[in-house]
Amino acid sequence: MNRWEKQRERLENMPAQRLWATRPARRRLVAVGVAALCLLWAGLVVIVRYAPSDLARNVYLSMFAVSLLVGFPVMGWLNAAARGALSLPERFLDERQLAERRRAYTSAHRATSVVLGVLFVLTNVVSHADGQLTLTIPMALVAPLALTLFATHYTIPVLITGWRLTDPPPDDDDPSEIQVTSKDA
Amino acid sequence: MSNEVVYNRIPMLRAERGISRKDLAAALGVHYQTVGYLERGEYSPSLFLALKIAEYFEVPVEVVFSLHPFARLGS
Repeated sequence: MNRWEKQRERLENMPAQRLWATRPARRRLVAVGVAALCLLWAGLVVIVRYAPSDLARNVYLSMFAVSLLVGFPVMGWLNAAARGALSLPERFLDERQLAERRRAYTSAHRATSVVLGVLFVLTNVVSHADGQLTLTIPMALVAPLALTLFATHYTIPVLITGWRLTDPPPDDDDPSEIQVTSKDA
Repeated sequence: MSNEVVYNRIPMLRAERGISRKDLAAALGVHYQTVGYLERGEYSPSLFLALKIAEYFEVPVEVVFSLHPFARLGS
């Protein structure tokens, strides 16, 4: 069994699958993930307003730590709920999972474009706020900004998939599920 | 695309032959949940998968899938 097969097995058998088996529970999880991501962005505002200072460093690092502690398990659980549709290589996915992945990436591309567009507008507004020709940007902002953009780029497809996932069919055959006809959702 | 309806008889064929979702999924090379989503009508298969399903049950594809609701048995 190679690394990916082991990961697939682990995702299938995660006890957390039961915790997040319903759509409302998964959506609450997504809301927590979005909050963790927003906290990272809020940390950038702290740096812009107060850096360089001990206050800015301490507040940012605290926000970063909370975001990390919350964000990592949330991403893990959402990836598990999607049964690896976003984390496994394509050869381990079937056509439905591949379609799910493509839909998530398409929507995430749009969402990330909006985030970058808003960032562009905001930086322009800030740059020209007082008619200044020069602007001092704290060096402390560069790495956290890159990290926040990376986190946004990485997490949005997972959050979108988690939001959209319908409740999975029961693992064992349930007689009440048997219907002769069905319709496309 | 979302209002395209494809009806199927997979649950009936599977029940008739005593095949579990996991067995059918393994034979088709798909995730077992995909069989569940197909049965619930929440996913419409590609032509390739539809043909594979028909071949697995050894019936013509129109016996398994239809654009119109299947008549109830005995009606």
